[in-house]
Amino acid sequence: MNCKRAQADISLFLDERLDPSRQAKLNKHLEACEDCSEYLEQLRVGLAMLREMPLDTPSPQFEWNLKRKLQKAQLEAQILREREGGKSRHWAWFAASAAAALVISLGGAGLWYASLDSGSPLLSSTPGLLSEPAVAQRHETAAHPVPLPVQTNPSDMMSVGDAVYGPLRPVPANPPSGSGEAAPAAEADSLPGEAAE
Amino acid sequence: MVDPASQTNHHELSDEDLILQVQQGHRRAYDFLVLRYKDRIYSYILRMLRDPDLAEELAQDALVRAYVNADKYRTIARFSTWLYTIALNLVRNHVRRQKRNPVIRMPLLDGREGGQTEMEAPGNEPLPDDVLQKEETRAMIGEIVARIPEHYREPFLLREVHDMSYEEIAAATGLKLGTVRSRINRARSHFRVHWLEKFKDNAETPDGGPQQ
Repeated sequence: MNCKRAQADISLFLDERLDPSRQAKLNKHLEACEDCSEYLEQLRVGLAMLREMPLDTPSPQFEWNLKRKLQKAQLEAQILREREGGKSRHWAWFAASAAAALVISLGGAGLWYASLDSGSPLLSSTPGLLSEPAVAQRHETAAHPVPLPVQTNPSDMMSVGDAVYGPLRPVPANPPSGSGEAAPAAEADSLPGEAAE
Repeated sequence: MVDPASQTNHHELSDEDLILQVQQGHRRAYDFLVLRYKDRIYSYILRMLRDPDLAEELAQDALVRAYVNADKYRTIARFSTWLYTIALNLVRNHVRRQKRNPVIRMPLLDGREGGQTEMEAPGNEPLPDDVLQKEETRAMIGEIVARIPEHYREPFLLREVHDMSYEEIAAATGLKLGTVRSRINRARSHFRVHWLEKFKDNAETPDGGPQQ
């Protein structure tokens, strides 16, 4: 056993955490090594001084200040709880309002569906996904205006986009460039990634 | 409110029972924990930071945090370990902040410059020799401890002054058990070196240090 190892074991020995086999080795080393014996003795005396020292005591104002801080913390916790309670009340009000709005809108939707067959003015004033005036405006500013089909049904709106920008197609992973162009038809029908193969 | 029956035996309750009472809303139970721990926590922080005002402030903060978070305490750890963990985190946060924005303080860390230490008695009345001797020894030990590198000092103080087991220290500091062992060993080596520097002159006195 060398001195470094012995000193590590001395620390464990002081805490009564050294197993018996190592304890025996340490004893043997201490018998032969004066430096390590001295090390152990100095540690014993020095640490005893440290352990015997009474604990430091805070000033007399410590408890008063602590009490003040505890009261403040309690008050803050109470305010936080009340705010959270307020928030939950707010959310309850919001949920009730949302539910009422939903009921009203469902009623409105029912009325709207009922009006589909009756040719009510409600239908024409309801904007679709892309309302007609907006489409018209967009095409007026396009470089190559295309005559617009008249849109009355929102489900037909996709055809408006098709008319201007061409039909929606999958985008190839590696768009062809330069002279090595793939046939547009084949490319358009292929899935992303397949065009490159 | 507090049950009169439980109020009478607060002194006999363990720390863990007291904090469980706090969790149940018996605020008065916390007063007993404060009484038990205020000196220990203050003392630990003071020996870590060597600044009495700061130590008071952080000790108060630790006790407030423990109270505010009492419901988070679980009985898998001892209350003392949990409280020291809180105190230790506050100390570490302070040290981290101080490293970022260093503040020049009075030379408390090194009494050789003769700076006023917190160990000096207030007032101008002369103190009896034995009291002076004790205060001087206390100041010297404080200086020795302060010279141990901070990361060794943390587990060292918990072991030597607060008598925590290696397992409790590992839980409080977040260190592995092997690291706790080696840091305590290294801290003791540092302590011994500085202790010899301070006390070798008194080595021949009856209550002095080791013979050289």
